Formats: sequence, structure tokens, C-alpha cells
Amino acid sequence: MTYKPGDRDDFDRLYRACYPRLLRILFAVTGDSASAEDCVQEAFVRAFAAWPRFRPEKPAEAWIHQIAINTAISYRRRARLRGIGEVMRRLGRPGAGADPAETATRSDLIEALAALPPRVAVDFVLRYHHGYNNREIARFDGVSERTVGARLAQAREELARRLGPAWRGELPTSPTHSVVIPREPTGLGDA
Amino acid sequence: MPDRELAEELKARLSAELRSGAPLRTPLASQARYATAAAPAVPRRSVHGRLLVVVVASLAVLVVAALAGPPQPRAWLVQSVGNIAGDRGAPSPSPANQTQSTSSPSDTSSDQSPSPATATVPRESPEPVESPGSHESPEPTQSPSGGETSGGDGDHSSPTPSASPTDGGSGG
Repeated sequence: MTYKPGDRDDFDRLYRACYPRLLRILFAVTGDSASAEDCVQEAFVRAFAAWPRFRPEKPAEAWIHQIAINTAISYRRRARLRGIGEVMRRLGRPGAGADPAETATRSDLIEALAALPPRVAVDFVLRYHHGYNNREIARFDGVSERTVGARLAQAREELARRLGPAWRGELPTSPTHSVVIPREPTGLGDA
Repeated sequence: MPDRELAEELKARLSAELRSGAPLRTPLASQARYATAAAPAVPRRSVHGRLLVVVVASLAVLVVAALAGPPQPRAWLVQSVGNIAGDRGAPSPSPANQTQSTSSPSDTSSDQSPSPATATVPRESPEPVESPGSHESPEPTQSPSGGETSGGDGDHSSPTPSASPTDGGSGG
């Protein structure tokens, strides 16, 4: 799918095509749907400002994906700083504890994903939820396949430590194993 | 290192939790934040420009009103101060004349008049007794000879304060 930089209709198309996938990826990074939605919207605001300067050397989907990941990383950094500030303010007072509503709605898996480094969580979701292979993810992230493999191994190991050994995964039965997973209609391969 | 695969039930759980946690509510492109955030950029500039025009216009009106408006009703005050300053710069008159000039109502009436020429006229008047404001001054009534006092008042060039009985008190 080709997009013309600076064209408003094309940007609307990009928004409709990428929003669902980005929302789920950022949900895994932030662990909160409202924050994920906020980050996605913020990412599109930034992308829209830079849209006339976009160079179609790489797919527009990969471009907006990078912007969204950077937005989520900034969000997490700010949230961590806010958390430290809260701790400093509450120092010496009886702790209020975690919000019961938030604790009840957030699952162990989402919490474990949100605790991962952002790019590790993103690659894990791209691989095991959206069904991309390591080569596609590497091209998308602009890193080597080896890096993607290391990130996935780190994610599996951390999830296995928190959720159980089943998350460590199993070796493929055949060396020529090729995973064919039905993808969502808006995928990286479409770009 | 060969890449490991997750069990199908774990993948299904991952997908289910991501879908339930972030349900697809893709807003319309017209409702997206970038569509609404880009719009107010132009009006904001025009509002700033309008505000600047209003401020400049009001400043101009103030300057015009201050410089080209009608004369202020308190201009007599400035002139009176100018007269007093001129008096201090002039050669000192006789003490009796000072008393007369400060207590005479013609002075106060001349203070209200805007022209400084009329303000200096009563001091030169040789007959302050005729002025009705002389009742305010206790000295003419205490003085046994008001004519002498008035004569002394009329003698502007005479520096002899001994002629007036009040001169000893005021001079001392």
C-alpha cells in the first residue's frame, strides 16, 4: 500500500490501517488500555506534524510504528518518574496500596508484559499475537534477526519466571519448521 | 540458537487478553486527535493579532486623550505653586506685608483665579483694610491704630517692623 507524503486522505488511510495493531502493541507495553489509546493518538499527532516530510524509503506502517513505540517509551519513563514522586510524597504516611479496580482488571500476563522492556514486549506481541516471523520484525525494527531472537528469548524467560515454565516455549520439531499463523488484515506484510 | 515456539493455548490466551484489554474502538479519522489538534492553529494566530490591535488602539486613545484633551480643572493648583515659588525667589517683603498677604482673602480668591497677574495684585494693594477678609486676621482688631497698620502695610519699601505691635511677637 503506497502513501503520498503530505496527503491528508492518505494519512487518514494510514490511521485506519494501523490504529488497531498499534493499540494492542502499546497495550502490551503500557499495561493500560487508556494509556495505550492516549499514546496511539499522541503518536498520530506527531506523525501528522511530520507527514509532509515523510520519505517513503521505508513503509509508512513501519514509520508510524517507530513513532508509536517511542511515544510509549516516553510515556513509561514519565510514569516511572511520577511513581517515584508519589513515593517521595507519601514517605512516612500510611501507604494507600494499589488501586483495587486496577488490580482486578489487569491480568498477570498483561502485568508481566508491561514489566518487560518496551521493545522486548513489542517484538513478543508482533511474533506471538500478530504472527510475524523474525525477519519481518527485524526489518520493521531496523535491527538484526539475531537481536530479535535475543529479545524474544528474554521475553519468554521473564514470562516463564513470573507465570510458569510453559512460557519458556518448546523447540520446533523440525529444523525446516515454518509457522503459518493467520494474520490480522492490517499487518506488516501488507506494507 | 533455534527459536522456540509457544504452545497454541498460550498464544490463544495472549490474543484473548490483548483483545479484551484493548478492544477495537477505532475512532473515525475525523475524530482523531491529530484532526482536531491541527485545526485551532490558524484561529489562535488571528486571536493574538486581534488582541494586539485592541491593545495598540487603546494605548493610542489614551495618548491622544492625555495630550489633546481639554485643560485640566486643577491647572490653578500648578499655577499657584508656581506663584509661591516665584515669591520665594523675589526680595523678601516686610513681615506685615507677609501677614497681610497670607491672611488676606483676596489672596485666596486670587488663588482660585488661573492668572498669576491677578494673584500679585492684592499684595500691591495699599488698602488691605477694605478687604472683607481682614476680619480673619486678629491683628487689626487688637491693634489700637488700624490706620497706622494699614499705613505700614501700604509702605512696601519700609523695612521697619517696630511700627507694628505684632512685629515683636512675629519677629521674636
